[in-house]
Amino acid sequence: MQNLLQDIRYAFRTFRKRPGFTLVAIIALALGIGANTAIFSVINSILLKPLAYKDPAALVSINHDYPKINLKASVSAIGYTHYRDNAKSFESMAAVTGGSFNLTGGGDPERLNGSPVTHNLFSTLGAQPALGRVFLPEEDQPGKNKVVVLSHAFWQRRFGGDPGLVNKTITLNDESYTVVGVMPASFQFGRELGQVLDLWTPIAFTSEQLQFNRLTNENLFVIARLKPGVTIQQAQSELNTIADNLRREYFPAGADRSNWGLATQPFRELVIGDIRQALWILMGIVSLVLLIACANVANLLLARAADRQKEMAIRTALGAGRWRVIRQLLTESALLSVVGGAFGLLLAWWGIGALVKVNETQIPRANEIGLDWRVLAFTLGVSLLTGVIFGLVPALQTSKADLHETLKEGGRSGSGGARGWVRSTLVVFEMALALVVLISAGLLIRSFWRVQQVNPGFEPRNLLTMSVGLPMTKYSERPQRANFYKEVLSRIRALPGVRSAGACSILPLSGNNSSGSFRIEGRDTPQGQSLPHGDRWAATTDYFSTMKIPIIRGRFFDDRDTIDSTPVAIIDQTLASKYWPNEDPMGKRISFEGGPQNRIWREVVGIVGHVKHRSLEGESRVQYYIPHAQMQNPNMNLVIRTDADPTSLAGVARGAISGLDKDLPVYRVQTMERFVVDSMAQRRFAMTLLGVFASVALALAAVGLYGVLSYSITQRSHEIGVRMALGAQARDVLRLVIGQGMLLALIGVALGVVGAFLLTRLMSSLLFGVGASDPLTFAAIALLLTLVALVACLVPALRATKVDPMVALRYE
Amino acid sequence: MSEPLLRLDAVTKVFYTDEVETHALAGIHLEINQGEYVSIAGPSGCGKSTLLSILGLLDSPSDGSYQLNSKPVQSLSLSDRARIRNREIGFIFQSFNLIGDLSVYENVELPLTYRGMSSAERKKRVNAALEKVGMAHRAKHLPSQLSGGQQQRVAVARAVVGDPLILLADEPTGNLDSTNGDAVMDLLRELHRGGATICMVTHDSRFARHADRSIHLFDGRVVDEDQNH
Repeated sequence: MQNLLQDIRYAFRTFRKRPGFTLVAIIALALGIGANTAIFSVINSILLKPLAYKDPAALVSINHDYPKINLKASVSAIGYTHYRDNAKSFESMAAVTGGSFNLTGGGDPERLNGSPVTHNLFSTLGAQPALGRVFLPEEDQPGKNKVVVLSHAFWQRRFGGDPGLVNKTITLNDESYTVVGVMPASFQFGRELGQVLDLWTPIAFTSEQLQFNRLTNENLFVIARLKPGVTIQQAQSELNTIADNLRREYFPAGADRSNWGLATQPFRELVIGDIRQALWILMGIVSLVLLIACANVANLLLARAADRQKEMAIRTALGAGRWRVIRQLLTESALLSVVGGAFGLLLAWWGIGALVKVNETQIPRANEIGLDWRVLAFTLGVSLLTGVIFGLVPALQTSKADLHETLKEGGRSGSGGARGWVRSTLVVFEMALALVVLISAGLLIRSFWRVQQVNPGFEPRNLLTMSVGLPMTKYSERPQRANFYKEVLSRIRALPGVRSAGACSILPLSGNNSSGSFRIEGRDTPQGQSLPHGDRWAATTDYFSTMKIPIIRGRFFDDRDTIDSTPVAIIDQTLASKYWPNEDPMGKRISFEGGPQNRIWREVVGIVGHVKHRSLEGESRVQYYIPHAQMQNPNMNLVIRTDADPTSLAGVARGAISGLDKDLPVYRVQTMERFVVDSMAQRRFAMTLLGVFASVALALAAVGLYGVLSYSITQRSHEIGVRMALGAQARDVLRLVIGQGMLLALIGVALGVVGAFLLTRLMSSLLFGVGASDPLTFAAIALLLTLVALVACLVPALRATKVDPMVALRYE
Repeated sequence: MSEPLLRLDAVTKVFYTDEVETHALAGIHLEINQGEYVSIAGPSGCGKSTLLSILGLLDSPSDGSYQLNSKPVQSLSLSDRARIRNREIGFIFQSFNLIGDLSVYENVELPLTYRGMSSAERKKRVNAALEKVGMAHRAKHLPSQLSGGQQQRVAVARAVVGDPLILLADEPTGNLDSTNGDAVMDLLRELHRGGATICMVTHDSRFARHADRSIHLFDGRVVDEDQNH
């Protein structure tokens, strides 16, 4: 222990004495370790850390499963109550649905994100309120459900954390709700799926919802807790039996019974989604950056080892065994890496903050990303391991010095040839790894560019969007809702700077979806086949022209489409070509409403272009639109096309809405371009990170090559002096040095190309519109690295031409 | 008659560089007794330093045997050799070979730290060694703050601090002016008078005469041996 302390003290002293070396080494290590720490903290929070609920491994989600159309749907009210009452595998089962509430009274009206839930949600999650209570079983009944539990953040923000709020009432959607409790700050249910909720109210199912003919009216997210000892496979098996019974009993003869079932999955898996692979790929790439940093520092240490050869020889001569010398050198390198790790931790802490800020709602569990004991342990472990990795080779090299030669007056430092070989190998290694990282980043950047080139099917520029939700208490009549939006749009269209305005129930790329099955008149669904299924929205007049969604046949919705007129629909071209490949769909009829006796058939009056609704890069479903005048959705999204900056019209557009109803909060006011940008958030997240890592890798590799050449020139100054004394010109010296450097660089590039060819195929799933071995990316990156290497060689080469033959020869 | 402290029998040392074979030592027989002061002299390249490196276990012979304190040491493991160097041999080099980053005190202390000796015991011994060479007042200085003569005195203190069986000095005055050289030689003589066994390589006949016995090497062989007193 005493020796260790002595080694540490000595190490600090040597670092202080060589500030340049220490600074460069610490920066390289901080970048490498910091990058790894940052990515690990993301992995830790998203993939490794248990969810913040009691026994989270027992939590599962349940979906209605439509395997033939690859759809995991929500669950209906009757479905939920049936599974809750009949499945024995679960300790409890809760249901949640999305909702939004207009808060009025006591300040500006505010649109709140809330969630109607069954009373047992909190007990299923194992959560207790911070204040008051959660819901009682009887509050799941219509008429008794006007109670609310607030989130801690909302309680603090809106009510200043007033503890007297419990048992007082607030007005939501024009109805009075009693606040019965406040959840603790740690309870952030919904946040793990990207939703920040302000409040929860009890769901009160109507008797109509609890009929078995509504089994596939799905709008509930169901979360359940497995009984102790029950596996998810056992639960799935029981749900399969329940689904079999339901299919037999309630699915009509001739219906496609095989395309419906129940699926359960761990809640954690649902939260993680498809980001897992991207994160592990990032972790793999970032560890390559750390290896480059290690190689860099190892090279620095090797150069320094030459200076310390004599010191180590003296220590050995005085009785230090080889292991003792290695231990001292490893103590120094470990210390260096721990200091680098500490700075890396700071970098990671700063980076994580920036990362979370930019991607708060796009990355699952983003709010949980941070430093904890696991991250600290990881950083310490990586730092120590890094210290050993980059310290071992120099330590081994230094410790096997030829004592006799080294201790002689003017003796040579020994093993210089071997050390030079190791240093060159490390540079080749760095170049190769840097190329792999750069090509990976290049492929992601190209993919991102390709995604940006995707035509979304509408023109997002100069479009302002905003959402409005009409409370059903105040707008209970269908014409009221239709007229409200008609009037609002009319007022907005009259505003200066507005070219056109329309509204749609759900905006493309907004993250919200609504889909449903439909029938085509005259076509029976053959046994074993599913009904057609597509995305379905309500749109007002001028929606398509405002969005610049092109009309291909027929017409847009217009004033002819009223609540009393012939029911109509507009379909998109993918639906037209899929279901009427050889026919004209115009005038054909589809239906998604009513039963066999009262089915409502809608005539196709137009065919519009396909819109990228769910993402720019994925395949969207077929799409059909219904006139808002015939659907009267209370919640609509306004789209306003402007002549200039769309955000400049936000205020007046809000004014137009409040002019009609001052209690209506307007929310989610943002440009359409913002939706497009946000839809690429995860891709941008991966690309940005990889871009940063690639820049670090490039810089480290260039510095590594520069360092080796600089050192080599110092070593070869005598040789260069002799060459110049014998008549070598500056260009000859340049050629000599650049040739030496570029040989290493080109070997590295060649190995890197092979490595990248083998490794980039692992990231195929992250790419879009570009192959894993895209020749253009490979060639461009190889050229870039070669050019950077050339610049890195040029500086020491120019210095070499300044060697004074007299000085070099005299020195020797 | 008692056993010699060290004995070399037919020791050879061959260096191989590319295709050239250099016979640095060719069948050396040498005995040094406890308390003896031996000098090794000879022209440059005769193998003096190579012989001293073998005696100090810094290098191993290509052939022949070497007994130190009645134990064969020619084929010990690296760690055993390190242990013997640490406990039984003290080195004094021509170029002092002090570690520039360590203070005078720490340089002298260094061999003791490799023995795992307690801090208090180390302190006692280091201070005594520095007193012995008259450098106690410079204990906190760095080698770069000392003159050559002072550095060599520190090196002598480091060599004796572990109380070794033998002191090996390789041209200890080679980097010193005559005044400092004389002072170091006086110091060695004083140590010898105190009972130290010393083997010194020198090419200076003046200093060789300080020793009890002078051995002359030429082309890796002992060609002459003088008794000086």
